[in-house]
Amino acid sequence: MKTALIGIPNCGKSSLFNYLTGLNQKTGNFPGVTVEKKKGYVNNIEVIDLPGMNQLPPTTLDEQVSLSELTNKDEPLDGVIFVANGVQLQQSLMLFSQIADLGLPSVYVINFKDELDKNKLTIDQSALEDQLGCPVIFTNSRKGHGIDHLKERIQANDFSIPHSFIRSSYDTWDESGHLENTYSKKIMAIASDLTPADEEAFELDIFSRQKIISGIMDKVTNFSRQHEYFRKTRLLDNILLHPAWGTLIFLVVLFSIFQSIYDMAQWPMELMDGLFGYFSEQARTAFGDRWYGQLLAEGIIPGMGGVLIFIPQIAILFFFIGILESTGYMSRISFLSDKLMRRFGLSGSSVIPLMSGIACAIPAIMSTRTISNHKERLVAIFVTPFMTCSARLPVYIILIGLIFPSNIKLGPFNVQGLVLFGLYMIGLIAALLMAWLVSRFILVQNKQTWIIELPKYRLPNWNNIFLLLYTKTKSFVLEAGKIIFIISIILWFLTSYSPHKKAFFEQNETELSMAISDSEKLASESQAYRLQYSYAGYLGRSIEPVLTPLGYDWKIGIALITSFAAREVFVGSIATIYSIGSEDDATIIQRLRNEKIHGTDQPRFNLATAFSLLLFYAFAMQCMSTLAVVKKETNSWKWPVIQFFTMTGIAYVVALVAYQAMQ
Amino acid sequence: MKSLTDLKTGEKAMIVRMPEDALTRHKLISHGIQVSQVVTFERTGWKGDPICILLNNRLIILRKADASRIFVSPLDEASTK
Repeated sequence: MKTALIGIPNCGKSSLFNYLTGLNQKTGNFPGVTVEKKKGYVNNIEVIDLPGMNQLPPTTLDEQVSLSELTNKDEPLDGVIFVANGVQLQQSLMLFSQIADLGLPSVYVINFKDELDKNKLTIDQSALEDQLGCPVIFTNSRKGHGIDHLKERIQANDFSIPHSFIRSSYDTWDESGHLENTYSKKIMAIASDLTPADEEAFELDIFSRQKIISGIMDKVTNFSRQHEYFRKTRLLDNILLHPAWGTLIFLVVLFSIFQSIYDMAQWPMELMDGLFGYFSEQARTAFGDRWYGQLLAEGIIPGMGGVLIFIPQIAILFFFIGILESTGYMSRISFLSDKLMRRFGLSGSSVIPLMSGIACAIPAIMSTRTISNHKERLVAIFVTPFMTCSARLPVYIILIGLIFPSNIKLGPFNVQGLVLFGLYMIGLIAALLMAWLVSRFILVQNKQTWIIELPKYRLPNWNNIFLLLYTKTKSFVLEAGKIIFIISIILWFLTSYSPHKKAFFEQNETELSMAISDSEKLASESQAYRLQYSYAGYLGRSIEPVLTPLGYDWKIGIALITSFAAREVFVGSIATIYSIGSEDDATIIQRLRNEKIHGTDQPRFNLATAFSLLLFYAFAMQCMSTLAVVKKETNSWKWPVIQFFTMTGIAYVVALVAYQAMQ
Repeated sequence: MKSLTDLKTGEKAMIVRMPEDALTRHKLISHGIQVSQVVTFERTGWKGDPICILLNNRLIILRKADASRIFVSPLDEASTK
């Protein structure tokens, strides 16, 4: 048996779904589209949480998906659980009247019963049942009241086909003389192509329904004190939506979230990093130099670590997103920022994903699901990796330290800090300019009608927030993790294996051991030699002609290739390739300063090279985890491939211009 | 008759004319914004854009460009009580 939850946005449908199914739910996509499909079970009965919709015919991709499920003839629904916010009964009844005319067995759930009581609003349950022709149940999805009763109804298959509203006006006789109702066909046709004749008929349809609904409202409710419902919300909005104070509070909220992501994620990330380092060490001890030991210690375990290390950041970001959404503040952010974002082809809905990209592009891209306009969502996904994420930070610190000594000041400001701030600004400006450009390519109609609802302020629903954390984290580990894992193993192979035989390296080690007495230095020189003649080393040399105009040699080339896995790998790779035993920043900086261009006295890392590298990392798509998530979110390899070549192309050109101009 | 954007904060009005183009009108209607509905003007964003209205116990945000094409007839306090 298959049922579906449907309702207008902000009716508490998802909270109800979480209460009904608990952890017994799966998240995926509806076939062929990137709209999230949540399904769960009440005993053995399947319950689908359909995307919220305002009215038929659909105007967004989410609404189209919901309509397709409601009218699916191959796997028809056995029942519809229609969820309504009791206080907003009129708009809910409009959608319900249309679903009722599809002839689907239904139950009408009036949610937020507590808010009806608090506002002294009453709905006559039996009178409404008589009017609608299907069972009516009251619930409070915040506290779980009425959920058991609803579960009993679902298990007993207690759904009824509601009374027709204006269904009969769509009855026609077919060629064989049978009476056929064409309402669902008509709605589907209008959804794909709205002709002027349809438009007129559709408006008449809505007008007729409105009259019927007004009659029902008069019979079953005492709704007259409507404005009291938003009294507290209005008081809060006077501050939070104030053009000056509201914007300031918004910036403080954002700043606090990013600080928390850095601060709170730091120790669990370090713990996980240490834990996976320990596991690698244990694997190395247990299996020695055998190939499977190396695969485990240098490929699989670090690969798994590379996936799992992002969990704290993802969980913390979604924790805050959950709070912003469930309190109703997220919509206020859209209200405050829409005008500015519009200039760049985006809307107020894109602010949170873009700002989240400063912490990490992966959860930021996942959070674009809150953007209802499909094309705008693609633009947000496309430009988010331009924002300066935390993985760029180690690279920037090394390279800025290489160019500017820490004691140089410009007035009261440290020059290193100013350059770092400048790089963050470059990321933001690049993201906005690219959004402007891409929105013109994929024809985002940002001047089109943008309507959102401001929900009433509510206390956070912790049940929903923790379920959001759980499902998002699980989805990241299982889906994006698979791709990251495979690429990690490929990179391990390229850096660990060589076209040369063992004797080639043994001979080098013998020669080195005669020249170097310090065992630590010997080991790192030997490691550098192995890397130089590995497949990755050959790859680095093969791309050297392309990199020379940027001021890079083959060694930097290897670091660029290996840091494709993640930008921060650059530090580790450059440390290994320049034979530095430790990854201590000062040691690396010192060694890089001393590095000379082969056969000359010229420093390898002069101002031009370092700036060129800084700009390369500011623009290049050096993060396979991001590409994996983009593939998952867009359901296609097209976007990650375009993104990779566009960003790398821009990075190359900017780095080339910077190097050649400064040289 | 004036445009929705000409209303003052707290002012109530009945919608009397919708935008000409079908797509915009369709989208507005899907959110319950249609002829004969009573709206209350709530507030505006920075420099008057976007705007927020109260309709059927829902606070709805729409851009000034769309709101300026919705025409309303203001209602006095007495007629709405």
